[in-house]
Amino acid sequence: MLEAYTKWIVRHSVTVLVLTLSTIALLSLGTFQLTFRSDDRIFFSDENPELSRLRDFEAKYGRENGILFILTAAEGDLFTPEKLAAINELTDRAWRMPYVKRVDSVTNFQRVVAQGDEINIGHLARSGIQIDQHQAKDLKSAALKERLLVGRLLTPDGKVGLVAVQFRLTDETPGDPAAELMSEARAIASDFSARHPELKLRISGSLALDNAFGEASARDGVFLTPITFAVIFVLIGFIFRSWAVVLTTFSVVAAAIGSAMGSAGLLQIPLSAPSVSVPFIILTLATADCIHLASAVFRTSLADPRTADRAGSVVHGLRLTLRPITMTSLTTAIGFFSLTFSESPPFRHLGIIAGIGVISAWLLAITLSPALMSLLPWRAKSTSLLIPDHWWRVLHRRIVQHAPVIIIAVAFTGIAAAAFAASNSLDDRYVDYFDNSFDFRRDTDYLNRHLGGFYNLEYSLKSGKAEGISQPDYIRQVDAFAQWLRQQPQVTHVAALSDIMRTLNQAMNGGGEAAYRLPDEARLAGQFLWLYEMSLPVGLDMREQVSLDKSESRMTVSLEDISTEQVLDLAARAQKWALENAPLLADSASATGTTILFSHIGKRNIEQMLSGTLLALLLISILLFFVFYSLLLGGVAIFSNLIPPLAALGGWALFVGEVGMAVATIAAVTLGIVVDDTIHFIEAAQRARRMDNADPVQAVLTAMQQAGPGITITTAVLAAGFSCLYFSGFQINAWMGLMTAIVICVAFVFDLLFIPSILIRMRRWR
Amino acid sequence: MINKLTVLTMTTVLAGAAFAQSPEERGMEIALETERRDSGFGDYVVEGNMLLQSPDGGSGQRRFSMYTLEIESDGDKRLVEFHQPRDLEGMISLTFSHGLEADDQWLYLPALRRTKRLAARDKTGSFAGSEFSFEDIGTWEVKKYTYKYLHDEELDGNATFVVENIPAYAFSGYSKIKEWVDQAIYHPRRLLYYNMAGEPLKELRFYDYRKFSERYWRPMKAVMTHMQTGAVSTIEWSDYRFHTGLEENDLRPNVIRRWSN
Repeated sequence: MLEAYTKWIVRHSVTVLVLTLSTIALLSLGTFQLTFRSDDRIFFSDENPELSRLRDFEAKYGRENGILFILTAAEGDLFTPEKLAAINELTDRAWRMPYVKRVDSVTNFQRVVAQGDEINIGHLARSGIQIDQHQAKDLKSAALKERLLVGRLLTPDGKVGLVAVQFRLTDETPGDPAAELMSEARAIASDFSARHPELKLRISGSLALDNAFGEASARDGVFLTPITFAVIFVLIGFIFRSWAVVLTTFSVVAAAIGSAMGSAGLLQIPLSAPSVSVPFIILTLATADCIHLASAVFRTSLADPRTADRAGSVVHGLRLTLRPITMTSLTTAIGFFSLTFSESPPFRHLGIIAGIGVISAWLLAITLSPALMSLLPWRAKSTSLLIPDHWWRVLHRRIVQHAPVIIIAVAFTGIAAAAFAASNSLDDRYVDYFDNSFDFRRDTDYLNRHLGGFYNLEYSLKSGKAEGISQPDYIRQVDAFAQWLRQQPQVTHVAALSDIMRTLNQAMNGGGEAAYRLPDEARLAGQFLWLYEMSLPVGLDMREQVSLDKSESRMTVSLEDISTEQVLDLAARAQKWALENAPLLADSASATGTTILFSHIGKRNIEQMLSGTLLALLLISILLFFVFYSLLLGGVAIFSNLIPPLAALGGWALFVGEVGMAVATIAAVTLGIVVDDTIHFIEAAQRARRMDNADPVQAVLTAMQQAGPGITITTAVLAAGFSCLYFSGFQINAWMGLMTAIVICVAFVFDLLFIPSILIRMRRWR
Repeated sequence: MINKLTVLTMTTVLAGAAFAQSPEERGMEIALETERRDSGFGDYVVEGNMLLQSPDGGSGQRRFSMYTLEIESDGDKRLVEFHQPRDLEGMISLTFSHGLEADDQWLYLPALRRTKRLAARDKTGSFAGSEFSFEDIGTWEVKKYTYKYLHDEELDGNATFVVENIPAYAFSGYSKIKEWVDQAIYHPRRLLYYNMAGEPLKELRFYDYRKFSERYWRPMKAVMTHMQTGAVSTIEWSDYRFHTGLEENDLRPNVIRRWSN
C-alpha cells in the first residue's frame, strides 16, 4: 500500500501539484477573515474567576481604559504660570478626544477650600485664569498638601505630574480604539512638546499597553519574517546545495502557513501578540518535515547514482520517511493541541493554529513535496549531507568505551538541573513583556520610578446596605485599612473614601487642621458627601468612587514596580489584616484589577496545563509503545524527552530565575517536537536489529549513520528557527522561542549520547 | 430665453435676500418667542419623583419639591427641597440664575444646621446623583446661549423647529445643545447635549405637556438618557401649582433653613 501510494504520487505529480495548491489557495482565503485583538483581556478566558470579579467591579465603577500623559518639568517644578497654563491646555485638549469620559490632571484637581460658610470646590488652577509667579508658588504649597493629589497625579517634589484621560470603550466599540487613541495622543504630544519645550511629555496607561500589544505583533511580523526566512533557507541551501530543495521547502512552508492561518480565519480564531508567533513555528516545523524527505531522497540517489533516476529516488525516499514523518507530525500536533487546556486563550489559539499547521505541513510533505521533487531538476552532491560518515564511527567508538560514564553523567546532570525547575519564580509584570525598544516600556518604567501606580490593587469595600458608606463604623474601618496599606513598603498611594470624608469635614468646619478627621455622625457624613457630589463638575464626579446606591466605595492602592508574586503576597496580607481588624470589610477586602488578573494567570496556567501536559504525555507514550512495541524502549524514549524540558527550566532557574505565564506551555509543546528525533533514532536501530540481525552495538552504529545526519540537521534548523523568535521585542514570544531552542539542544544530547549508550548497555531490546 | 431666465433667477435671489433672516436671527426669534409666551407666570411649585436606572440593573429613587420664582430684571430663582433618600432628606438647594454671570448657589445641610454657599463657578455637577446636572435643571435664560435655527422637523407627530444652542456663558459642560422646539406651544420636546469632543452625550425628552393657568405649558415627565452609558433618569412631575404667593423674601440664603423640616 505504501509502495502503491508513493508511486502514485510521483506518477501523478502534476495532478497532485494542482490539487494541493488549489486546496491551499482556497483555505488561504480565510486569512482575509483573520481578526486581531490587542486588548489585555484576551489573555483571560471567560471562565477565569478573577476576570468575573473584575467585571463585577467594573459594572459598578466603569472599566479602566486610560491614557496617561506624564509631564516633567525640564527645569524646576511644574508650578510656574506658563507650565500650569500648558497643563491646562493639555487637559482641555484631552477633553476633546473621542470617547473621552474623564480627565484628571494636576490643574483640574478638585480642591475643597472653605472660607467661613463659603465652600469652594473647584479646579486647583482653572483654565483661562491668569496667575502670577507668586500665586503659582502658593498653588504649589497648597497642592503638596492634597493627599489625593500627591503620589497619585503629582510627585512630592512637584516636578512630575499627570494628565490622566479615561475613555468609555466597550467590546462593541468599532475599529481599533486603542491604536486610534494612542496615535491621536502621540500627535497631541508631539504638537505640545514643540510648543512647550519647558515640559517633557511621556505616554503610558492601559490603552498604551493595549497598543503596545498590537505594535509588538506588527513588529514581530516585520522583523522576524525576514530574519527567520533568511536563517532557515540559508541553512537549507547550505546543507543541500540545491535550489530545488529550497524551492520545494519554501512551497511547503508557505502553503502550510497559508492553510493554517486561513483555517484560523475560517474558524474565527482571533490573533493576539503571542499567537502571532505561529507562522514562525509552522515555518520551522514544516521545514523539518521537508528536510527529512529531502535527505532520504538524496541518500537514496547517492547510494546508487547510476540506476536511481530522480523519480525512483523520490519514491524510495518517500517510502523510507512516510512512516516516521507521520508519527512525528502526530506527536508534534498532540503537543500543540494539548495547549487547548491552557487558561489563557492566546495559548489555546496558538496551539490550535500551530496544530493545524503541523497537520497541513505533514500532508504537504507527503504530497506536494515529493511531487515537486520529482518535477524539479536536482542532483545530490556527496558533500551535501554535512557530517562525514567517519565522524559517526568515531563518536560511536567513544560511546562504546564510555557508555556507563555517559549514562550517569547525562542522566545526573539532566535530573540535577530538572530539580531546579520548580525554583523559577513566576512573574507576569505586563510592562516587562516589552523590551526597551518600546516607548511604552520606557515611559511606563519612568512613571513607575517617579510616581508608581501603573500596577495597582482595586477594592470595592461593601458596607452591606444602601447609603451605608456614611456610617461612622464603615468610614473608620476604611480609614484604618487605608492607613495600614500606606505603611506597606511597596505601596505608593492609597485613594479611599475616608480621605474625602476628612477633607469635607475639615471644609465644613471652618477649614482648620484639627478638623481634618472623620465625621462622627452618619447623616452628617452622608450630607457632606451629597454636597461634594453635587459640586463636582461633569467628568470629575464620584461615579468612579462610589456605587450608585452608596452601599460600596472604591479604594485604589497604587504600587511600585514589584513582581506579581509580591503583589499576591501583599493582597493576601491585606485580606488577612482586614479579616482580623476590620470586620465590616472582611468580606470585600479581596483585591481585583488588571494587576491581580496578571498576577494569578501564571499559576492558573500551570495548574490547567498540568492536565494538558499529562494528557499529551499519555498519548505520546501510547503512540511510542505502538511504534516500538517495547515498554523498555518506550520508557527510555519518554525519559529522554521529559528530562530536557525540565532540565532547560532548571537551567533557566539558575541563570534567569523568572518565568511568565508562557512557561506552563513549554513542556507540552517541546515534548511533541523533540520526541521526533528519538523516534527516528530508535526506529533506525530497531530496523538494523530486526532486518540485518545486527547486535545492539552494531545496530546503534547503523542508527547513528542513518538517522544521525537527519537528527543533526533538524536540530540545527529547529534550534535556529526557534532562536529567531528571541529577536521578538515581546518577551512572551522571545522567551518561548529561546526556551524551546534550548530544550531542542538538550534533547539532541540525549538522542545522540544518552540513548545510544543506554541501547549499548541494555542488550535485551530489539 | 437664457436672458429671461437669468433675470428671473436674479430677481428671486434678490427678493429672497431682502426678506430672509440668517439662521442666527431665526434662532434668536424662536428663543424670544419662547420667553415671551412663558413670561408672567410669577411663581410655581411642583413635586418631582425621580427614578435612576443604571444599565447594569442598579436603581435609585429621589423625591423633591421645586419652587420657581420669576424675576423680571434678572434670572429666575429656584429652590429645591429634597425628601428622599434618607441622607438627602431636608437638604435645600437655592439657585439664583444669572445671564452670562455664574449662577449663585447655596446648600442647606440639616445635619450641620448650616447653609453653605457653593462658590464654584461651574454648575455641571450631578443633580442628586442623577444624569441631570445642575446646569440642566437650572432655569433657562435667553442670554445664556447663542442660537442658530437649523430646519423644521416632525417629531412624534409634532411640528418642531430644530435649533442649535451654543452656551454663551463660561464653564458650561457642553459644546452645544440641539433643541427641538414645538411650533405650537414653544416648548422643547427634545434636547441633545454634546460634550466637548463634539459627541452626543445625553438626550432629554419631555412628555405629556399640559396647560396650567390657561397659559403655561409644563411637561409631566422628563427622561434624560446618557447615550454613552445607557443610564436613564426619569422625573415624573406632579401637582403643578402656579401663583402660590412665593416672595423674594422667602428665597433669601439666610432664611432657607426654614424650608427644611
